[in-house]
Amino acid sequence: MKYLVLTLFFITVSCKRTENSIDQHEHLRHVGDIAFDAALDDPEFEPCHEDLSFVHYNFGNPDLYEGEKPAIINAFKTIDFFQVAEQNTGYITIRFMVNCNGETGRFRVEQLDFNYKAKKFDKVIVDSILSTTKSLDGWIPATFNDKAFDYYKYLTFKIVDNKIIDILP
Amino acid sequence: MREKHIIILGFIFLFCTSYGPPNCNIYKEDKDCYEACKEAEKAIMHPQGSKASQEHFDESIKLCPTFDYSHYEKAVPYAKRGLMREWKKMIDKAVEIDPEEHLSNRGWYHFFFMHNYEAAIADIDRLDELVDYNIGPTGDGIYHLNIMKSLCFKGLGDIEKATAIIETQMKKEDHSVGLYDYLHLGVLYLEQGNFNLALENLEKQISINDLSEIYYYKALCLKAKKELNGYKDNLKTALEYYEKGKSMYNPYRQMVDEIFLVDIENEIKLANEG
Repeated sequence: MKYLVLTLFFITVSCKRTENSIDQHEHLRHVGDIAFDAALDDPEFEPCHEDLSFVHYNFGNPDLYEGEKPAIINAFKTIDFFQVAEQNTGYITIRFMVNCNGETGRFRVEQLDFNYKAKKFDKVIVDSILSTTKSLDGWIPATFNDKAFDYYKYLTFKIVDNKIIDILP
Repeated sequence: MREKHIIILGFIFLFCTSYGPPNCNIYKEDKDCYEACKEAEKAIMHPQGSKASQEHFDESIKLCPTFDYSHYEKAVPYAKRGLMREWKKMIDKAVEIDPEEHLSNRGWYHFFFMHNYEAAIADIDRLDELVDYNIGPTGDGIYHLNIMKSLCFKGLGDIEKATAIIETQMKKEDHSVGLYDYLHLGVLYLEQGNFNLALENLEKQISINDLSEIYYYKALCLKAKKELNGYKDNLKTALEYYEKGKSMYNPYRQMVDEIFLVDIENEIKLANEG
């Protein structure tokens, strides 16, 4: 009984922590900033201004991609997940940075169900979407007053039964 | 022209998605909530999503956990940057406190950022049941919520229901025509093969908001009607408008029925081959 009470206590505390982790965390310089993580990131990729970055929607051409959004969609048309046995449904979001030279890095992956709760997709699907996103090479550096800046961009893939049915935003 | 769009949309978003907190004086009787309101006022003096802004919202929520405005505003930058798990948790709190105020906003984000049409429809329907007045426009002021609901049904593939909803809404005496209402209705008719009604509505769109998309979709109607001169002329106009930046635009990205340069170029190629 004592162990049951203790176990329930720890479950309650850990659930509470998980629940609060979103609200109570230390805020970054800006929501959505991606700090360098040696365990995840390519050290070759360098932002041009570590302390000054924008978001795609801050600029007049928010697709910021050669050929606009259709070119991004085309890059994903050839991938399929027929080899994945289990049906996967939900959203995969890849967030990343485009530096002032149009190079990309600091990729982060979010996996959600349609209620926006964290879930795990089959690794084949995640790896394929991530590697295709990394291979996109038409990013246009964002400029303002003839100066190029780094910016954050994200792509969200709406997936139903292992098929990408939408690429957002 | 695109610059003009950006400025207009900038103002719309500034005032509609980062709207100010309520008049704090209404909380004078409740010291903590009054202070929470004052913290929210400080929050919006900083760039949206910045550390300083989010910290003021945290403080506001700590002082008065039922101050829904701070839950809502704290959530917004997460959605704009693709962090929807965080957004959902915060917006749900705002909706829980004041559904009448925040259901429409949550519905809009489901629709626009995630194409989560079922969730968007559910929020609009719930709001409709909750109030006995006109449910009004989306937070960015671009659509009446029923037009947005119509676009959700279109997203789900139910073109007939989408058309019925938009027709009903636009017939209402108190309906204020939105920036793209006639365009969307015209495209819905086009998709059902009703080319004359499509053309009629696309023509009406010109005086509301003259866009490249109008001429592109008009061209498709005329192609179907085998009026090939009009088909080519409209494609030419669509291209001219597009190159001048006179096309649908939303900085947070793609809108329903928005077209791209490649769409026009491919159609011109087909027109020239024919």
